[in-house]
Amino acid sequence: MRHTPILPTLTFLALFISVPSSAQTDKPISTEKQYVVGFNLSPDGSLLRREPGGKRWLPIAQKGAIYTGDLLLGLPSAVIQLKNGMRLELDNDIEQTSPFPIVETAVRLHDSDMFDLDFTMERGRAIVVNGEKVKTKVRVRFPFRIDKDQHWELTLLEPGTRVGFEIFGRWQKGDEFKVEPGAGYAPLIDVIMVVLKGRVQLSTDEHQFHMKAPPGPAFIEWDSRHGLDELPRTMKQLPPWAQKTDLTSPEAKEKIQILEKFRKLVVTKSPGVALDTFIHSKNPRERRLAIFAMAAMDDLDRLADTLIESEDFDTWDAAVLALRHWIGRGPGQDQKLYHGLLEAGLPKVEAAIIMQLLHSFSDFDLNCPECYDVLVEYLRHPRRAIRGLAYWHLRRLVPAGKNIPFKLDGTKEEINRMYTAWRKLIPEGKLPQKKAKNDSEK
Amino acid sequence: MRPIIFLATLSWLVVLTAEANAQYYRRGYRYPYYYGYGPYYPYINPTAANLYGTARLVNAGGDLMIKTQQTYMMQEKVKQEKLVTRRKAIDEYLYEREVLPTPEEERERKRQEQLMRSRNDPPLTEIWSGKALNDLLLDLQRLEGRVAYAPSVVIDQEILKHINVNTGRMSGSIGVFDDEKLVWPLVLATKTYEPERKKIESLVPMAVSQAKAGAVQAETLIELNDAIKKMTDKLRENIASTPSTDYIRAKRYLNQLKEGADALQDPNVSKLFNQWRPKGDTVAELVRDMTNKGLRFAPATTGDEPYYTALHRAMANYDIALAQLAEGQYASAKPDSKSPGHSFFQSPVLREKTPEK
Repeated sequence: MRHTPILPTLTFLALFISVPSSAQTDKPISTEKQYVVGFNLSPDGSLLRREPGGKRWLPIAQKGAIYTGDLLLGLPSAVIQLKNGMRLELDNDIEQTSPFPIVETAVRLHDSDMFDLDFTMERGRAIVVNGEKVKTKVRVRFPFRIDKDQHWELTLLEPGTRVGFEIFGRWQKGDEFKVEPGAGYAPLIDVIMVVLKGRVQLSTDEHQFHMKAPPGPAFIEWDSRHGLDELPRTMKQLPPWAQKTDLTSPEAKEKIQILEKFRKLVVTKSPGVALDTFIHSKNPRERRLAIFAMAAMDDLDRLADTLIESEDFDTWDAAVLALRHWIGRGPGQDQKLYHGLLEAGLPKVEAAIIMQLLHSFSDFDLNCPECYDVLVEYLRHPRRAIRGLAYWHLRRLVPAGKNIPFKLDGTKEEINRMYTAWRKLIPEGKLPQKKAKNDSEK
Repeated sequence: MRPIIFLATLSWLVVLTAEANAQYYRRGYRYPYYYGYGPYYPYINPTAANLYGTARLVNAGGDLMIKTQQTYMMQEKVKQEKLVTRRKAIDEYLYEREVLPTPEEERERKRQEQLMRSRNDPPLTEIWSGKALNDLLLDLQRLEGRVAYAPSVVIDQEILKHINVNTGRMSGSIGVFDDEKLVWPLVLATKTYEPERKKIESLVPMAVSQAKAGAVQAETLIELNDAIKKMTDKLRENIASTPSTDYIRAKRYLNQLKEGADALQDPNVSKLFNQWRPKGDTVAELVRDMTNKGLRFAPATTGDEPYYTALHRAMANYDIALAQLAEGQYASAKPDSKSPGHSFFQSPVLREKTPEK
């Protein structure tokens, strides 16, 4: 079997390179006119900005200016204070209490005469907090079309009103990768809005709703397959992620420490150095953070290098999840990755195989022995990325194989041994054995 | 007995020793401190010592007898306890036999479980493999004779043209050979597989015409199986350059061809091509027809899946209605019912009569 020579198999050249730079400046360098709309209320480096059309990420100092048009990426608890007294809190899901995997949060602010706050909710979770004014007008834009329009309008009726937004996208089970996508080919995007405090009037293209914090009609959801809820849903209490979180568990404390360490590195060195330091760390949590941060910053070059070098399954697991999260952001993301693979020199077929393996198999396929046959055969594929992805799927679908060593760059014999072990577990033409039900399940 | 003899002997020795010591002491050769009391040890009369020893001897004998009897009693108790244990074991066995299901009951329970699953939105794979349809077929065969008055569920005849059946001997069906031309998946339709594809395409019409005439010749079957195997092997060799979904579809089609070739070996293959096709304007008629011919549903071939889903829905609805009617019939036939059977004829489920022929 021919092994892949050590080449960057997932190297992206023109499209996605993020060039870290130690020269940090708050001055905008875009040619479009940008306005200062607020400042960073959180510590240095909690917010990163990327100018429109740019590729560099720059940390924003505490009290540093926030410009319209910049893409803003926040560490947990990053807060933007606007000139008019409003706040925008960028949140993450440290405690993993949200039903959606909120990995990173990104927003873009806009200048507006008609609205007190006008921003694009790119991804993640953001909380709009009203100042002292009543009947504050907010426009929330989305990077895709929601029904007929691409934004919602809110009127925050009371001072101190808090409204949370979450956006999550993922390719559904069975959504095949299409080299030439047609109309309607897109991941499932979910948008939710929750009134956390006070009262809000929500106006969409066709509807107007009055909503209030729990207990009351506080929750409304839109998704790209079923559209908007007919009416806001009543909540008895705030969702777990909105309640006062107890971050005293050892796990939460460790995560906060790691984030703080990352933030400091971003400020004292650069985002690139922070990523490099963390990816080579012995702490698996730090490596995991680095991987998701790479995807959040669109630094797929670095992510590809990580996959090329790493033989650690945890790193692969995190990287695959990060890539699946990345391609699920919205329509066209998976096409970007596919074309990036072609640009890197991969044959079309292999790029298509990689993309399909980054999507999910349907329930029907998972009930067919042929699906497992192809995954096991891919373990001997000449392309390292395909071997790794096939192993990742098998490990998840057949937990009984978790003890089979993850050998991507072994000798021919080692790889054959891995293949034989999986083949023994899943004979050709057969489905893997299901775990026997215990009495309690009966 | 041996332990008792040993104990008795030991008793004798103890007594003799006492006697010996008594004599020894009488001779006065022992140290005055032997018994630990020196010159203050009480003097024992030799005659008394003799009597003492004799008494001890008699006691020992008596003890021996008592202990022997006690041993017998203990042995007896052990035997009794064994009997008690055995009786308890038998009671437990009888209890378990009463309470635990028999193999037949267990099979029936599993059948009911499968039936519930097949009625209520089973996975598509089970519908398309024919399993759900066969579960419903079995239940309908059981219910058919038990209900006098059943609603009809009409079947679109277009659906039945795409339903495969077999006799149950083989798992596959001849459905893949139904169309005049094989419909190859994209990957297998490429030039890479042209030689194998042409070979199979030349053999299939020959095999089908032989099957319709009575039986497929062995050479034809062997050649066909070889060609399918060669194509399968080639597909595996080219896996590195085959997208996963295309590979899955191609492999699945080759498996259908293989199962179809196996089905050609069925002794009744000519009937499967000619008379033994699923027939019926309603679900009831289809069930009756398949029952009379001893047929079962075979897996769907590529492209037949929507028809299987449609037929499943029709059969599930009919099966549920029939089961409700059967239940209602039995409920109204209870001794305390005022008019046995009356509530059945007035059942709201009934909407139309079965068309009379």
